[in-house]
Amino acid sequence: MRRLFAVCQKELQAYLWTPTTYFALAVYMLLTGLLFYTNFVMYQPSILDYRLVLGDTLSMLVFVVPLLTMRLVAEEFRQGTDELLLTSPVSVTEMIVGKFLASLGMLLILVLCSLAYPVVMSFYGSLDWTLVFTSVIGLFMLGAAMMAIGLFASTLSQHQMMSSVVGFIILLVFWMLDSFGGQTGASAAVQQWLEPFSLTARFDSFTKGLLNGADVMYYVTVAVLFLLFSIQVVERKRWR
Amino acid sequence: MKKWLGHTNSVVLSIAAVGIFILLTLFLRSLGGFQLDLTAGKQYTLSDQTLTTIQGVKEDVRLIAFTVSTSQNQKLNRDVTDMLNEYAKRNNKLKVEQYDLNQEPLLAKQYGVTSASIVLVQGEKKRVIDIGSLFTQAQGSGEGAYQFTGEEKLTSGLLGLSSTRQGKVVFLTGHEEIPLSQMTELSSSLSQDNVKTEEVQLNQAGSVPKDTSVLAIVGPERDISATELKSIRTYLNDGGKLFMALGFHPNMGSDWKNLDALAADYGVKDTHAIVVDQEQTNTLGPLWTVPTFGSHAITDKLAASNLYPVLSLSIALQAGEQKDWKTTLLMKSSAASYGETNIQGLLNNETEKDDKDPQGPLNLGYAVEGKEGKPKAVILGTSALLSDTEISTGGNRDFVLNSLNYVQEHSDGLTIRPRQEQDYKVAYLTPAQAKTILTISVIGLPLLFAVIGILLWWRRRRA
Repeated sequence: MRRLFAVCQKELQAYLWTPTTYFALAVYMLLTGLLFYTNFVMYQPSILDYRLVLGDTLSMLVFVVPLLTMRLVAEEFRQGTDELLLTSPVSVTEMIVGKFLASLGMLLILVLCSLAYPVVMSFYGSLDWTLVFTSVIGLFMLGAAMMAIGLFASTLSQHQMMSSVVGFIILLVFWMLDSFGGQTGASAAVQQWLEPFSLTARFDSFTKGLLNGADVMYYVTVAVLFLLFSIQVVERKRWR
Repeated sequence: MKKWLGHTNSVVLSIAAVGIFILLTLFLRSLGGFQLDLTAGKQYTLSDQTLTTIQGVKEDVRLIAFTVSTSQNQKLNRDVTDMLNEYAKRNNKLKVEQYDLNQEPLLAKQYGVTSASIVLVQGEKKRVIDIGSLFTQAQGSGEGAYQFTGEEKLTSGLLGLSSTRQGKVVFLTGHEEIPLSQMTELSSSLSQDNVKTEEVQLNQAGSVPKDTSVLAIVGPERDISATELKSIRTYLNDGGKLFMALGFHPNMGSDWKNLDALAADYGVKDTHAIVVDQEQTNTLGPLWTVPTFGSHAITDKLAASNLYPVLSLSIALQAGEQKDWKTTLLMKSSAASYGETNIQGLLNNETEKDDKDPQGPLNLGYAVEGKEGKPKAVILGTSALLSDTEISTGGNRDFVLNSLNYVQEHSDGLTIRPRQEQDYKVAYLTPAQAKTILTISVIGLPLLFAVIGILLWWRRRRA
């Protein structure tokens, strides 16, 4: 466990001392800020409901998460430090989970930054803070699942940009699973099967003020699944 | 060999993990309602009646919402789709589809829909619920508050799809009653319950049709003839049921001999006094009254849900002793009300209580049952509440449907408490406020992170 936290601490420091992190955060805040401004201010009267703003800003995660996770393992491969890690007392599981926890720290910063918007809204009228609270929990859980996917993508290549693109593609597929298929006939059946695995469809209940057991477990299992994949990919290196 | 084993192990583990993930996701989803509702008023917690109904659905049901998207009804559309999704979450036989009515006119036409509606389709059977009828203005709960009766209507619709019961309410015509063409909402609500409606002219038909479940006399302006009275009595004596809603007419005191005799058969006397209520009324004036309920199967659930009818130009009734029938009071006006007997004065907008006018509370409706407790009739001193113009007001629709369900011995009429909701809270921003928000959200925060990033980059470059 101590080794796991050591990895986490090292990664968090790497995050906080890397300019790319802040540029990614700046891009995220710029895009979500623009969407917030458009939704909240451009159409008058302004509607004091965080859900309406959150819906649009959420999609920004698909772009930002791969940027934040791309270097996690790919950088070790590129610099050759993975050999050191694999031969050190740190197990692959500890390494992956440690890096994942560090990415959750980053995610927490991102979620806290997103809270700026409901705070701004609250200056202009009373806001339902229960909905904000459950939405933030949902945002964190969704983000955590996405970070695990991004981390997995980072294990696939030593090139950060390649990891980022792969992460983006996987996230996009999971994001849009409920959009494939149609509303009638065979395509409706396809959609019905795919919809439970969509990242976005699971988020709705959080924004309504509901903590749905199935949705919470879905995000947890997605994160666990991709962490497991990541461990397997890195372990594979051992057998080479 | 070791390398090969390692790879195999890895592949097997990954496949097993994917399998567990898929099964776990589908299994947890099938549990549906395993959730914590943190909303004020538990907006997404469905009633036991609804949950039982949902679990009882064994064949696929399509819940098709045809909504109209405007900035005004965004919140209302969301209430509807959220509710449908809550139902679908609990039984995978329920499938939600949503279409914009304006973008899918042909599809809407296929289901006979011309306004925002929810269509429930199970095989060949179909139920249409008008979305407009799901929302009513909440009284005394501040601006923007409204009541949403979606759960009650949708659960009723689902029950109607599986119901095998049949019924036919026959409306008497020929005496300037309210025609069925002006009670389309009532007809539609009844048809959702597999209850047919039709009109009968007794002078032409000669007798009440044999398959009639209930004979309804709604707002007649002329008296029925002695022959018609005889036909009606024959039908009722043969086990028929009566729903009688009397409305105001200037000559009711002198002309309604046979109608009064019919009511009197069941111990109900028409006093011909119009209720003037200064206390339990709404803003429309003292000729409108919001009655209080007597305790009865028709009214108990409505009273518990605070769902009261709003009545106009009602006639005070009195129940006398009757050896064959037991009468139960359904509703009454306030103690401050009185019954105006000077109809001419009333027509000239002059109404003041005098010695002839009975003092309130005045009784406005009775349920009649036989000695063995079987429902026989509902007699009301008010009729306009059945018309399209008034049926959506207050609890009118629920009261009428409960009454018709009672008299037909359909005891599973539903009344689920409507949800009290608030419309979106809005704020009108000044240009200065808009500028502040722009500065903070679009310039300030991104710039802050960009500056930190540049400083770090600069520091690293120099190091």
